[in-house]
Amino acid sequence: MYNTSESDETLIDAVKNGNCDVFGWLVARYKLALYRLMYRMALNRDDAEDLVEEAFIKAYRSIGKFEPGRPFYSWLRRIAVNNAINFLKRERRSDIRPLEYVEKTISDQRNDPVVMTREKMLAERINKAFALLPKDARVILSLKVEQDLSYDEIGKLLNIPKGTVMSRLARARMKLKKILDETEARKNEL
Amino acid sequence: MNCDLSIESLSAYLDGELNEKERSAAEIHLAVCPRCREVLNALRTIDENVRQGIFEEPSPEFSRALNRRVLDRVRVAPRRSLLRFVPVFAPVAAAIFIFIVLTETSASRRMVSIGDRVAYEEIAPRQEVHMIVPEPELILAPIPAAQRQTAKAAADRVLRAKGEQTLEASTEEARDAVGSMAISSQREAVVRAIIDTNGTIIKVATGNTLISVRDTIMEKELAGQQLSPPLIEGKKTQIYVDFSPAPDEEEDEE
Repeated sequence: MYNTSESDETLIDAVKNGNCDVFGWLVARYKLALYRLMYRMALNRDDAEDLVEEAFIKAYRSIGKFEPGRPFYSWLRRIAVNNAINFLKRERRSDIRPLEYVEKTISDQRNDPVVMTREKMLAERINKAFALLPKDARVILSLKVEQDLSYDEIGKLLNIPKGTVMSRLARARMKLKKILDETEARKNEL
Repeated sequence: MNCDLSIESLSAYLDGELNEKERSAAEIHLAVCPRCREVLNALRTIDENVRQGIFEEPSPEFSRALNRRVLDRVRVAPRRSLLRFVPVFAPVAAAIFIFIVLTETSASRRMVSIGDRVAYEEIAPRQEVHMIVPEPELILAPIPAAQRQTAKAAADRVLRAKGEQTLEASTEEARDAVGSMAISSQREAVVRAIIDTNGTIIKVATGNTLISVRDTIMEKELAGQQLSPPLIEGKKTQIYVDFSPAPDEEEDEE
C-alpha cells in the first residue's frame, strides 16, 4: 500500500491513523542522516546507534504533536539532538579528551588495516581533531557544517540566543584549526 | 593594519548570516585586507575538513534491523496508550485515594455518642448482639418489665394480636398500629451501649427512649463482655445499640 516514494506527510498521516508499520519507512529514510549527526556527538558507533533508535522511538510516541506541513527531518533532528545532549550530560563525559585516548579509540574502530590513501589519512586526522573539541563545539559545528542549519535553527535547537550561536561557532572553528595545526606540527617534528 | 572585522563576523559572513549592511561592510574590508581574507579561507578549509571527516560505518545489525527493532518497541508501548496520561492522572488519582482514605478513616474513628440515633437498619439488617444485660439500676421513668420493649417488638405483637382477631387485617391498620405503639413506647425503659469496632462495650447509658444517662455501674458490669466485632456491609464499624428484651421473654412475661 505504501512505498518508498510516498511523501513524509502521507506516511505520517498513516502513522497518526494507527498504521504503525508505516513508521518503518520513515526510519529507513532518515536513519543514516541521523546516525552521522549522532556519531559526531557521541563519537562512537554503539552510542550513536542507540541514540538514533531512541530518537525514533521518541518521535513515534510524540507523532501526534507533529505539525503537518513542517519538515519531518527537522522535527526528528530536534528530538535526536535534545536526547543526545541529555545523554552526554548523563554520561558526564569530559569535554576535552587526551589525544592518546582519541588516537587509540579511532584506530581501534578501524576494521580494515589496509594502507590508507592520503585522503583517508587526512580524514582520520580531522576526526581525531574533531574528537578533541569540547562537546558544545562538536555539536554546533556539526549542526552548521554537516546539517547546514541556520543560526536561528541552531539557536532554537540548543535553546541559546543567535548571538551565542555566532560566537560559539566562530570559536569552534578556530579551536579545530588550532588542533589541526598542532597535530600537523607534531607530525612534522616526528 | 587594524582589522574591524572580528572572527565572529568572518564566520557569520561565511555562513551567510550577516545582514545586507554588515555584509557590504565585510566585503569592502575583505577587498583591502589580505589577513582577513586568509582567515576567511582558513575557516572555509575547516568546514571542508569537517565535511570530509570519516564516519565509522554503522553496524550491519543497525542497517538491517533498526526498522524492526523500532517497530517492535513501539508495538509494545502503543502511541495511544493511556499510560501517556499517567503524569496527569497519577497525582489526581493519588489525591482522590487520600481523600477517600481520610474520609473513611475519620468516619470509622468518629465516636458514636449516646445521644446519636444510628439508623443502621437502613444500611444493613438488624444484627443480633448476644449480651447479658442486667437490670438497670438507674431508670428515669421506671416501667414494668413487661412493658419494656422496643417499638418494633411492640408493633409485632400488635400485628400478631390483630391477626388473631381477623385474618383480613389490612396493611394500613398494621402500619397505624406500629406508629401508635412507637409513639407510646417512646418513654419506655432502655439500655443503650456503644460498641467499638473490636466488639468492646465502651459506654453504657440507661433511661428511657427520650432521656438516657450514662450508667457507669452498668458499664463496669458489662466491661468484661467481649462481643463479636460489629459489621455493617462487611466492614467493622463502631455502633450504637438499644437493648431490649428478646421477644420470647416478652411473650413469657405476658
